[in-house]
Amino acid sequence: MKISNVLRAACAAGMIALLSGCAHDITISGDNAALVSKTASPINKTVGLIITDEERSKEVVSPGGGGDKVAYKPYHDLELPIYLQLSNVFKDVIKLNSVPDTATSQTKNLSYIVTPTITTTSSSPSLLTWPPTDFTVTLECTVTDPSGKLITKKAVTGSGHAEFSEFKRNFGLAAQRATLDAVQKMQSAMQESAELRQ
Amino acid sequence: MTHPRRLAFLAPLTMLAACSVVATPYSPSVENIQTLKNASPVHARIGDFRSLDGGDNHYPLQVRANVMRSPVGSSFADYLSNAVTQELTFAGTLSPSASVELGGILLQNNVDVGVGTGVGTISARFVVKRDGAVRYDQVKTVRSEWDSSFAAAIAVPRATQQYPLVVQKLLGSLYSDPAFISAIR
Repeated sequence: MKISNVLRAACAAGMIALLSGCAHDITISGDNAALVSKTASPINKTVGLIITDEERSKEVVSPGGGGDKVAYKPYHDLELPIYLQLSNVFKDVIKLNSVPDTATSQTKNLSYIVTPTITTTSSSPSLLTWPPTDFTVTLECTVTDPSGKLITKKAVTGSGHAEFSEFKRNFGLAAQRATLDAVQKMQSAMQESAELRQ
Repeated sequence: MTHPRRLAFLAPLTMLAACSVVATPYSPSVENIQTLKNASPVHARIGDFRSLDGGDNHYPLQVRANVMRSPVGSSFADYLSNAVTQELTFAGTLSPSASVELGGILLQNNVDVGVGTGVGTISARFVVKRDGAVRYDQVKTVRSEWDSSFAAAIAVPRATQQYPLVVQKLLGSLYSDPAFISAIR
Protein backbone atom coordinates (compact mmCIF):
# COMPACT_ATOMS: atom_id res chain seq x y z
CA MET A 1 0.00 0.00 0.00
CA LYS A 2 1.36 3.41 -0.93
CA ILE A 3 2.07 5.93 1.82
CA SER A 4 -0.58 8.27 0.37
CA ASN A 5 -3.20 5.51 0.72
CA VAL A 6 -2.16 4.89 4.31
CA LEU A 7 -2.46 8.63 5.02
CA ARG A 8 -5.90 8.72 3.41
CA ALA A 9 -7.07 5.75 5.45
CA ALA A 10 -5.74 7.32 8.65
CA CYS A 11 -7.44 10.64 7.86
CA ALA A 12 -10.72 8.87 7.09
CA ALA A 13 -10.54 6.84 10.30
CA GLY A 14 -9.79 9.99 12.27
CA MET A 15 -12.72 11.86 10.76
CA ILE A 16 -15.07 8.94 11.39
CA ALA A 17 -13.91 8.78 15.01
CA LEU A 18 -14.41 12.51 15.39
CA LEU A 19 -17.81 12.59 13.75
CA SER A 20 -19.23 9.47 15.36
CA GLY A 21 -21.67 10.09 18.18
CA CYS A 22 -19.27 10.34 21.07
CA ALA A 23 -20.41 11.58 24.50
CA HIS A 24 -18.90 14.86 25.61
CA ASP A 25 -18.40 15.35 29.34
CA ILE A 26 -20.18 18.31 30.91
CA THR A 27 -20.70 19.51 34.47
CA ILE A 28 -24.31 20.30 35.34
CA SER A 29 -23.71 22.53 38.33
CA GLY A 30 -21.76 25.75 38.27
CA ASP A 31 -21.41 28.78 40.48
CA ASN A 32 -23.24 28.06 43.74
CA ALA A 33 -22.81 31.51 45.27
CA ALA A 34 -26.53 32.19 44.72
CA LEU A 35 -27.34 29.29 47.04
CA VAL A 36 -25.53 30.67 50.08
CA SER A 37 -28.33 32.52 51.84
CA LYS A 38 -29.61 31.18 55.13
CA THR A 39 -33.31 31.85 55.46
CA ALA A 40 -34.50 34.24 58.14
CA SER A 41 -36.14 31.48 60.14
CA PRO A 42 -34.51 28.13 59.34
CA ILE A 43 -36.35 25.06 60.56
CA ASN A 44 -34.79 24.11 63.87
CA LYS A 45 -33.98 20.53 62.89
CA THR A 46 -30.94 18.56 61.74
CA VAL A 47 -31.46 16.56 58.54
CA GLY A 48 -29.47 13.79 56.92
CA LEU A 49 -28.91 13.99 53.16
CA ILE A 50 -28.43 10.58 51.60
CA ILE A 51 -26.46 10.28 48.38
CA THR A 52 -24.70 6.95 48.06
CA ASP A 53 -21.27 6.45 46.49
CA GLU A 54 -22.99 4.38 43.81
CA GLU A 55 -25.29 7.28 42.94
CA ARG A 56 -22.38 9.74 42.94
CA SER A 57 -20.54 7.69 40.33
CA LYS A 58 -23.62 7.07 38.17
CA GLU A 59 -23.16 8.58 34.73
CA VAL A 60 -26.07 9.68 32.56
CA VAL A 61 -25.85 10.12 28.79
CA SER A 62 -28.44 12.27 27.04
CA PRO A 63 -28.73 14.04 23.68
CA GLY A 64 -26.73 17.09 22.69
CA GLY A 65 -26.70 18.74 19.29
CA GLY A 66 -25.51 17.49 15.91
CA GLY A 67 -26.28 13.87 16.75
CA ASP A 68 -23.77 13.91 19.61
CA LYS A 69 -24.43 13.08 23.23
CA VAL A 70 -23.39 14.57 26.54
CA ALA A 71 -22.34 12.66 29.66
CA TYR A 72 -22.54 13.85 33.25
CA LYS A 73 -22.97 12.65 36.84
CA PRO A 74 -26.18 14.20 38.22
CA TYR A 75 -25.83 13.07 41.83
CA HIS A 76 -22.18 14.02 42.00
CA ASP A 77 -22.82 17.43 40.46
CA LEU A 78 -25.97 18.22 42.48
CA GLU A 79 -24.62 17.02 45.82
CA LEU A 80 -23.26 20.44 46.80
CA PRO A 81 -26.23 22.51 45.53
CA ILE A 82 -28.70 20.27 47.38
CA TYR A 83 -26.52 20.36 50.53
CA LEU A 84 -26.42 24.17 50.38
CA GLN A 85 -30.14 24.40 49.75
CA LEU A 86 -30.90 22.18 52.76
CA SER A 87 -28.43 24.21 54.83
CA ASN A 88 -30.50 27.28 54.00
CA VAL A 89 -33.77 25.66 55.08
CA PHE A 90 -32.68 23.69 58.15
CA LYS A 91 -30.51 24.44 61.16
CA ASP A 92 -27.96 21.79 60.13
CA VAL A 93 -27.37 19.19 57.42
CA ILE A 94 -25.27 16.06 57.57
CA LYS A 95 -24.33 14.28 54.37
CA LEU A 96 -24.61 10.48 54.63
CA ASN A 97 -23.51 7.71 52.29
CA SER A 98 -26.27 5.31 53.32
CA VAL A 99 -29.50 5.12 55.28
CA PRO A 100 -28.52 5.62 58.93
CA ASP A 101 -29.34 3.05 61.58
CA THR A 102 -31.17 4.07 64.73
CA ALA A 103 -27.97 4.60 66.71
CA THR A 104 -26.50 6.89 64.04
CA SER A 105 -29.72 8.89 63.80
CA GLN A 106 -29.72 9.38 67.54
CA THR A 107 -26.01 10.23 67.75
CA LYS A 108 -26.30 12.80 65.00
CA ASN A 109 -29.64 14.05 66.33
CA LEU A 110 -31.35 13.60 62.95
CA SER A 111 -34.97 14.68 62.71
CA TYR A 112 -35.44 13.93 59.01
CA ILE A 113 -33.77 11.91 56.27
CA VAL A 114 -33.80 13.50 52.80
CA THR A 115 -33.35 11.22 49.80
CA PRO A 116 -33.14 12.98 46.41
CA THR A 117 -34.01 11.50 43.05
CA ILE A 118 -32.73 13.30 39.95
CA THR A 119 -33.86 12.95 36.35
CA THR A 120 -32.76 15.08 33.41
CA THR A 121 -33.52 15.84 29.78
CA SER A 122 -31.39 17.67 27.24
CA SER A 123 -31.66 18.79 23.63
CA SER A 124 -30.32 21.13 21.01
CA PRO A 125 -31.74 22.03 17.61
CA SER A 126 -28.24 22.61 16.25
CA LEU A 127 -26.94 20.33 13.53
CA LEU A 128 -23.34 21.47 13.90
CA THR A 129 -22.65 22.00 17.61
CA TRP A 130 -22.87 19.44 20.39
CA PRO A 131 -23.57 21.37 23.65
CA PRO A 132 -27.23 21.15 24.73
CA THR A 133 -29.05 24.47 24.49
CA ASP A 134 -32.03 23.26 26.54
CA PHE A 135 -31.88 21.24 29.72
CA THR A 136 -34.27 20.22 32.47
CA VAL A 137 -33.52 18.87 35.93
CA THR A 138 -36.34 17.23 37.84
CA LEU A 139 -35.50 16.98 41.51
CA GLU A 140 -37.64 14.93 43.85
CA CYS A 141 -36.87 14.91 47.57
CA THR A 142 -38.42 12.27 49.77
CA VAL A 143 -38.37 13.29 53.42
CA THR A 144 -38.84 10.66 56.09
CA ASP A 145 -38.30 10.49 59.81
CA PRO A 146 -35.46 8.23 61.05
CA SER A 147 -37.86 5.28 61.32
CA GLY A 148 -38.69 5.56 57.62
CA LYS A 149 -42.15 7.11 57.99
CA LEU A 150 -42.90 9.45 55.10
CA ILE A 151 -43.12 13.11 56.16
CA THR A 152 -43.44 14.69 52.72
CA LYS A 153 -42.34 14.36 49.13
CA LYS A 154 -41.53 17.39 46.99
CA ALA A 155 -40.86 17.41 43.25
CA VAL A 156 -39.78 20.36 41.15
CA THR A 157 -38.46 20.82 37.63
CA GLY A 158 -35.87 23.41 36.74
CA SER A 159 -35.22 24.42 33.16
CA GLY A 160 -32.26 26.12 31.58
CA HIS A 161 -31.61 27.56 28.15
CA ALA A 162 -28.36 28.88 26.71
CA GLU A 163 -27.49 30.06 23.23
CA PHE A 164 -24.27 28.89 21.63
CA SER A 165 -22.92 32.44 21.70
CA GLU A 166 -23.17 32.36 25.53
CA PHE A 167 -21.24 29.14 26.03
CA LYS A 168 -17.73 30.51 25.66
CA ARG A 169 -15.87 27.66 27.40
CA ASN A 170 -18.75 26.50 29.57
CA PHE A 171 -20.59 23.89 27.52
CA GLY A 172 -22.79 22.84 30.43
CA LEU A 173 -24.30 26.31 30.84
CA ALA A 174 -27.91 25.36 30.00
CA ALA A 175 -27.67 22.43 32.42
CA GLN A 176 -26.17 24.60 35.16
CA ARG A 177 -29.04 27.08 34.81
CA ALA A 178 -31.53 24.22 35.05
CA THR A 179 -29.84 22.89 38.20
CA LEU A 180 -29.90 26.29 39.89
CA ASP A 181 -33.55 26.74 38.94
CA ALA A 182 -34.50 23.31 40.30
CA VAL A 183 -32.63 23.71 43.57
CA GLN A 184 -34.05 27.19 44.21
CA LYS A 185 -37.56 25.87 43.51
CA MET A 186 -36.95 23.00 45.93
CA GLN A 187 -35.81 25.47 48.59
CA SER A 188 -39.06 27.44 48.18
CA ALA A 189 -41.13 24.24 48.26
CA MET A 190 -39.50 23.11 51.49
CA GLN A 191 -39.76 26.51 53.13
CA GLU A 192 -43.48 26.57 52.42
CA SER A 193 -44.01 23.03 53.69
CA ALA A 194 -46.00 22.93 56.91
CA GLU A 195 -45.14 19.23 57.41
CA LEU A 196 -41.44 20.00 57.78
CA ARG A 197 -42.04 22.54 60.55
CA GLN A 198 -43.99 20.14 62.75
CA MET B 1 1.53 19.08 -4.00
CA THR B 2 -2.04 19.11 -5.26
CA HIS B 3 -4.66 21.18 -3.46
CA PRO B 4 -6.58 18.29 -1.81
CA ARG B 5 -3.31 16.73 -0.65
CA ARG B 6 -2.17 20.04 0.80
CA LEU B 7 -5.46 20.27 2.70
CA ALA B 8 -5.15 16.71 3.93
CA PHE B 9 -1.64 17.51 5.17
CA LEU B 10 -2.53 20.83 6.81
CA ALA B 11 -5.75 19.77 8.54
CA PRO B 12 -4.12 17.42 11.06
CA LEU B 13 -1.40 20.02 11.74
CA THR B 14 -4.10 22.57 12.52
CA MET B 15 -5.74 20.11 14.90
CA LEU B 16 -2.44 19.49 16.65
CA ALA B 17 -1.64 23.17 17.11
CA ALA B 18 -1.56 24.25 20.76
CA CYS B 19 -4.95 25.48 21.96
CA SER B 20 -5.70 27.02 25.30
CA VAL B 21 -8.24 25.38 27.61
CA VAL B 22 -9.38 26.39 31.08
CA ALA B 23 -9.67 24.10 34.09
CA THR B 24 -13.22 23.62 35.35
CA PRO B 25 -13.90 26.13 38.15
CA TYR B 26 -13.51 24.66 41.61
CA SER B 27 -16.61 23.23 43.22
CA PRO B 28 -16.26 22.62 46.96
CA SER B 29 -16.50 19.09 48.26
CA VAL B 30 -19.33 18.39 50.70
CA GLU B 31 -17.05 15.95 52.54
CA ASN B 32 -14.43 18.68 52.97
CA ILE B 33 -17.02 21.20 54.16
CA GLN B 34 -18.32 18.69 56.71
CA THR B 35 -14.82 17.94 57.97
CA LEU B 36 -14.24 21.65 58.56
CA LYS B 37 -17.65 22.07 60.20
CA ASN B 38 -16.96 19.12 62.50
CA ALA B 39 -13.73 20.81 63.59
CA SER B 40 -15.59 23.93 64.74
CA PRO B 41 -15.11 26.30 66.34
CA VAL B 42 -12.57 27.29 63.68
CA HIS B 43 -11.87 30.77 62.38
CA ALA B 44 -9.18 31.32 59.78
CA ARG B 45 -8.21 33.79 57.10
CA ILE B 46 -6.51 33.15 53.81
CA GLY B 47 -2.86 34.12 53.55
CA ASP B 48 -0.45 34.06 50.65
CA PHE B 49 -0.65 31.23 48.12
CA ARG B 50 2.14 31.10 45.57
CA SER B 51 3.62 28.72 43.08
CA LEU B 52 7.15 27.34 43.01
CA ASP B 53 7.60 27.00 39.26
CA GLY B 54 9.88 24.45 37.68
CA GLY B 55 10.14 20.67 37.46
CA ASP B 56 6.57 19.34 37.41
CA ASN B 57 5.02 22.73 37.99
CA HIS B 58 4.67 25.02 34.99
CA TYR B 59 2.08 27.59 34.06
CA PRO B 60 0.15 27.17 31.88
CA LEU B 61 -0.09 23.43 32.32
CA GLN B 62 0.63 21.27 29.27
CA VAL B 63 -2.25 18.90 28.46
CA ARG B 64 -1.30 17.00 25.30
CA ALA B 65 -1.07 19.63 22.55
CA ASN B 66 -3.09 22.10 24.62
CA VAL B 67 -2.22 24.33 27.51
CA MET B 68 -4.55 24.53 30.51
CA ARG B 69 -4.96 27.77 32.45
CA SER B 70 -6.63 28.60 35.72
CA PRO B 71 -10.13 30.12 35.51
CA VAL B 72 -9.18 32.41 38.42
CA GLY B 73 -6.11 34.61 38.87
CA SER B 74 -2.96 33.97 36.92
CA SER B 75 -1.68 30.67 38.30
CA PHE B 76 -2.85 27.40 39.78
CA ALA B 77 -1.75 28.71 43.19
CA ASP B 78 -4.59 31.21 42.76
CA TYR B 79 -6.86 28.27 41.91
CA LEU B 80 -5.81 26.51 45.13
CA SER B 81 -6.32 29.68 47.15
CA ASN B 82 -9.78 30.10 45.64
CA ALA B 83 -10.63 26.47 46.44
CA VAL B 84 -9.63 26.84 50.11
CA THR B 85 -11.50 30.14 50.35
CA GLN B 86 -14.71 28.58 48.99
CA GLU B 87 -14.57 25.62 51.36
CA LEU B 88 -13.85 27.77 54.42
CA THR B 89 -16.69 30.08 53.38
CA PHE B 90 -19.23 27.28 52.93
CA ALA B 91 -18.12 25.74 56.24
CA GLY B 92 -18.65 29.09 57.96
CA THR B 93 -15.04 29.20 59.16
CA LEU B 94 -13.62 32.02 57.03
CA SER B 95 -12.98 35.12 59.07
CA PRO B 96 -10.85 37.97 57.63
CA SER B 97 -10.04 39.18 61.14
CA ALA B 98 -8.98 35.77 62.49
CA SER B 99 -5.56 35.39 64.11
CA VAL B 100 -5.09 32.08 62.27
CA GLU B 101 -3.79 32.40 58.71
CA LEU B 102 -3.60 29.60 56.13
CA GLY B 103 -1.16 29.91 53.24
CA GLY B 104 0.51 27.60 50.79
CA ILE B 105 3.07 26.95 48.10
CA LEU B 106 2.17 24.87 45.06
CA LEU B 107 5.12 22.54 44.51
CA GLN B 108 3.92 20.09 41.88
CA ASN B 109 1.04 20.44 39.46
CA ASN B 110 0.94 17.89 36.70
CA VAL B 111 -1.74 16.39 34.47
CA ASP B 112 -0.70 13.49 32.25
CA VAL B 113 -3.43 12.67 29.72
CA GLY B 114 -2.56 9.22 28.42
CA VAL B 115 -4.48 7.26 25.78
CA GLY B 116 -6.15 4.97 28.34
CA THR B 117 -5.58 6.65 31.69
CA GLY B 118 -5.27 10.23 32.83
CA VAL B 119 -3.21 11.02 35.91
CA GLY B 120 -3.25 14.18 37.98
CA THR B 121 -0.62 14.86 40.63
CA ILE B 122 -0.62 17.88 42.90
CA SER B 123 1.70 18.62 45.78
CA ALA B 124 1.53 21.66 48.01
CA ARG B 125 3.12 22.90 51.19
CA PHE B 126 0.54 24.26 53.62
CA VAL B 127 1.49 26.66 56.38
CA VAL B 128 -0.74 27.71 59.27
CA LYS B 129 0.31 30.72 61.34
CA ARG B 130 -1.26 32.08 64.49
CA ASP B 131 -0.33 35.66 65.26
CA GLY B 132 2.64 35.25 62.92
CA ALA B 133 4.00 32.08 64.57
CA VAL B 134 4.08 28.92 62.46
CA ARG B 135 1.78 26.25 63.92
CA TYR B 136 1.72 23.84 60.99
CA ASP B 137 4.03 23.35 58.03
CA GLN B 138 3.56 20.21 55.98
CA VAL B 139 3.58 19.01 52.39
CA LYS B 140 0.54 17.16 51.07
CA THR B 141 0.67 15.20 47.83
CA VAL B 142 -2.18 13.46 46.00
CA ARG B 143 -2.48 11.49 42.80
CA SER B 144 -5.71 10.65 40.97
CA GLU B 145 -6.41 8.53 37.94
CA TRP B 146 -9.33 8.55 35.51
CA ASP B 147 -10.35 6.92 32.25
CA SER B 148 -8.94 8.85 29.33
CA SER B 149 -9.37 8.55 25.59
CA PHE B 150 -7.31 8.40 22.41
CA ALA B 151 -9.40 11.28 21.01
CA ALA B 152 -8.09 14.60 22.29
CA ALA B 153 -11.60 16.07 21.88
CA ILE B 154 -12.69 13.74 24.69
CA ALA B 155 -9.49 13.39 26.71
CA VAL B 156 -8.61 17.07 27.12
CA PRO B 157 -12.04 18.31 28.35
CA ARG B 158 -12.15 15.32 30.70
CA ALA B 159 -8.79 16.34 32.13
CA THR B 160 -10.05 19.90 32.70
CA GLN B 161 -13.04 18.42 34.57
CA GLN B 162 -10.92 16.07 36.65
CA TYR B 163 -8.55 18.79 37.80
CA PRO B 164 -10.89 20.21 40.51
CA LEU B 165 -11.43 16.67 41.82
CA VAL B 166 -7.68 16.30 42.32
CA VAL B 167 -7.69 19.60 44.23
CA GLN B 168 -10.64 18.37 46.32
CA LYS B 169 -8.60 15.30 47.20
CA LEU B 170 -5.59 17.44 48.12
CA LEU B 171 -7.65 19.61 50.45
CA GLY B 172 -9.37 16.53 51.86
CA SER B 173 -5.96 15.13 52.82
CA LEU B 174 -5.12 18.44 54.51
CA TYR B 175 -8.36 18.71 56.51
CA SER B 176 -8.17 15.08 57.62
CA ASP B 177 -4.77 15.69 59.21
CA PRO B 178 -5.38 16.02 62.99
CA ALA B 179 -2.28 18.22 63.26
CA PHE B 180 -3.81 20.67 60.80
CA ILE B 181 -7.15 20.75 62.62
CA SER B 182 -5.32 21.27 65.90
CA ALA B 183 -3.33 24.13 64.34
CA ILE B 184 -6.35 26.04 63.03
CA ARG B 185 -8.47 25.65 66.18
